[in-house]
Amino acid sequence: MKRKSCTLCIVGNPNSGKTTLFNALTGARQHVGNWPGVTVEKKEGTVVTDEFNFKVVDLPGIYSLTAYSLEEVVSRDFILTEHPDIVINIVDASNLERNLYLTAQILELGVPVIIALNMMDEAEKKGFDIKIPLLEKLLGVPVVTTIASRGTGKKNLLEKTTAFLQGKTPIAPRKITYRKEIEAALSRLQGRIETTFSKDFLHLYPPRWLALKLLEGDEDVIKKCHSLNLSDKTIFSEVEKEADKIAKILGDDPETLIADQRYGFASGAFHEAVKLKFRDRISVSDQVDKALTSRILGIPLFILVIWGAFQLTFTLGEIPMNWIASLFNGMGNLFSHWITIEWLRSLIVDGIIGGVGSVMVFLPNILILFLIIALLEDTGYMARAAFISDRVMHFFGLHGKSFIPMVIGFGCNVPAIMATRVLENNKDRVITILIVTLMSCSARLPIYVLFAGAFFPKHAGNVVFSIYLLGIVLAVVMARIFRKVLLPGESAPFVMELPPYRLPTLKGLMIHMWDRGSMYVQKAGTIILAGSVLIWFLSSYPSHPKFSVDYTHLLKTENTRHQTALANIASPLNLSPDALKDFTPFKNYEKAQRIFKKESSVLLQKQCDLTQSLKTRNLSWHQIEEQYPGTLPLYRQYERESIRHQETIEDLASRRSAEKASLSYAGHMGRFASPILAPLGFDWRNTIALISGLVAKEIVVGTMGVIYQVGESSHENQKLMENLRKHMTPLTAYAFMVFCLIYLPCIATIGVIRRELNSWKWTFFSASYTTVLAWVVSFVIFQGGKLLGLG
Amino acid sequence: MRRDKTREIPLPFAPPGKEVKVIRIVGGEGMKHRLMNLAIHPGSRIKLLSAFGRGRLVVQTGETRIALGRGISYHIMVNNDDN
Ligand SMILES: Nc1nc2c(ncn2[C@@H]2O[C@H](COP(=O)(O)OP(=O)(O)OP(=O)(O)O)[C@@H](O)[C@H]2O)c(=O)[nH]1
Ligand SMILES: [Mg+2]
Repeated sequence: MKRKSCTLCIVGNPNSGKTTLFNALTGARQHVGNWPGVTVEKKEGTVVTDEFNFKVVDLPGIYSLTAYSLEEVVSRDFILTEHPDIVINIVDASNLERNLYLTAQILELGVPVIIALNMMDEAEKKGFDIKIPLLEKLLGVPVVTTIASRGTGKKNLLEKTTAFLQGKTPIAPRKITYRKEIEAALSRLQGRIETTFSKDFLHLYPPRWLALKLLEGDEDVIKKCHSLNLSDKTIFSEVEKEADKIAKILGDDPETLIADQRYGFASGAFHEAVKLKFRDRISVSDQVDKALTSRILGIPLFILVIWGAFQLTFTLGEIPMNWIASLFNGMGNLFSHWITIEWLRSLIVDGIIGGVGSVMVFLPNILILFLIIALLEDTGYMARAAFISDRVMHFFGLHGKSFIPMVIGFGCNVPAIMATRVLENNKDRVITILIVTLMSCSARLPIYVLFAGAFFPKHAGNVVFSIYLLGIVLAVVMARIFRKVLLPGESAPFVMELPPYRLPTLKGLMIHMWDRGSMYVQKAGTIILAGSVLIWFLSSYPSHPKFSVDYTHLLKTENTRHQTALANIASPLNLSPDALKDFTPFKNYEKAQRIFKKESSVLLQKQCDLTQSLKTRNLSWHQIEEQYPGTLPLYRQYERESIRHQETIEDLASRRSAEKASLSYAGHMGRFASPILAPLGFDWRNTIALISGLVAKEIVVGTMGVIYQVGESSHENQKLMENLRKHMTPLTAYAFMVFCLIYLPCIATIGVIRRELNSWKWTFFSASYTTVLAWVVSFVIFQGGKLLGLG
Repeated sequence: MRRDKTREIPLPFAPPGKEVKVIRIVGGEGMKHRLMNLAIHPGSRIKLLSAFGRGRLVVQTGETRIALGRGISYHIMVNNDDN
């Protein structure tokens, strides 16, 4: 059976549950959140029934269909020019009266509409008794009740849609009848429109609707009409004449009168179809809001929430972090044993496990961070926080609503830049986009955790927090400067609907985390994997560089020296040097030492007891010496020699690998660029890491993991930290973290800035100012710290 | 329908918790439109829920709760004591 294809588009007020319904219908996992303005771009999905193959389109939320905001124009143009087979108008049943204002305007478009009366559970709680058949009659379109968050009613909705599409139930939307003066003007204008415009144009825009819009003075429609290059332009003066006449008779401009009557229509339908079963007691939501938005409690609670969020991310994330670290460590050891081909082992263990592993370790922190952001979004606190922060934001030349993208930016800058669309004013938006990249995204978190752990183990939490704080401070300061210098002007006044508080669903939260988590893992498996392999190659080759000293020769000399020393010890005992390690008294001494070491930590206070316990086992040094006279001094010599030999070999190996790395391609590249960064205290390794971080900031850590571990025997996180400490001081580490915080956003962010601002100029500006700022701030920190004697 | 100018007060001065009627909005088309979208227009009844200081308020109209900044709350003129 061949199914027919149909398009179904979802329109409705912000936060009415459009995306929730879209997800329920299509099985998609688009972002849902409890604040108005979550969806900013139209999203498409499909649902297949027995009869039809539906293309479902989710549109951004709108309050009306005027020309005042881009979303509204885009939505109505979509409905009129893309000809969806049916429009699903989502209506929030718990806020029916206001939602019907948009419905009234959708009905006027004259397209087939089905109403999904959503949030029936909340309407129920408020005591609304909605007479569905009556509402259907008043609006002239089918009404289906739904609870989108539970998937209730979607089957019924598809059935009604199918019935209409198969021609079984026609839909004839009721249109508002305006006051007689307006109706008279409308019918006169409609007549003129039908003779003035082409059939094609009127096929897209129905004449009555055009008449209404022209009378309202809708700028977008007027512009569209002008662009047609009509031969007969009298229509425009006609419209003006009618508008003037109405204003004179009715004492108000047509736009206001028409809007008033639409509200009248909505209110009439509401009061007729809805009975209040009981008066809602003072709701919990009201009480909570009183506290959260009050002058006294608002700000302390706000600070507490943000502080708690940080604490959770760091303390809770640490535990599973160690599990993942040991998993990768184990894998590294396993592979080092299995693989015998040296370059392949190095590629897999140093390159892939070293690079990807060091990034994957931070997955728990990132999951928790996104969980917290999801909690802020889903409970409804986000909109309150925006309101509370409005005053401070205003002071810095931002807008209360800038707060929302800033919080989202802690997760990832890309959706944050999309979320700046909640800002109505373009200047507000540009400034917010420019400073949002200073919000430290989750990709930068691994860098801080690694460096803070290595250099400030006792104060790691505070150090990381200070970096975040620095980001916020720089953001608001830069915003203030941009507002003063680049984009002077007032920001738009703050108006925002406060959504009701809602308990986040476990499923919703899990979806948020899963999506983000799998994205992170995917990134680790693709970009970061590729980056790590590249960095591995660049820092491992050429494999036989010209060393400044001959390490092989030095090693040989050391071995000879060691053999001679051993022979000297062995000769009084009449043994060969190789037999020393199997010499019974020596083995006993060693055993005694091992036991001593092991137990001393446990029995530290009771030292005499320990000696006693050795004695009972015949293993005290005195006893051994008595048994084999004259062996103790020789053993002491032997022990010293063994340690010295071991240390020398290790030192040679690490000097060799350090020099090898610095002679590698990466070393050459890094050293070429590092003069620019030298004043900040960075060496070629930091330079390479920063360059690689342009692709995605996680790679900085991966690169560190690779560069510092190539040719190393052990791959624990601990070892990486140790190596970092060898090459950097706490001061350079801090300057490095700061640089990572500020410099050039990642490629994905640059891409989305370009798209959202539609300007190369601003994109270039964003990329360059951040890099210059990063250099300056790190310079001040490094040089200032050195002056204070911290270096 | 008589407009009594002396009875008009800006919204921030309205008594909290009491329902008042919007008389007019003093501002540009854009502002009027944005308030209209949220059902604040001449004739609608609104209630002051809480004041965050300096003209920042939360109001309720119908089932909608709206946060208003000070750039806009002073532009909403309401009638203090009508029927
Ligand atoms: N109680 C209840 N909550 C719902 C229902 N449908 C959606 N929600 C919740 O309402 C909030 C808003 O849902 P969204 O789907 O993001 O709303 P939207 O219309 O797409 O919003 P924008 O994209 O901002 O325009 C979320 O917190 C949902 O979980 C419902 O039927 N009942
Ligand atoms: Mg949405």
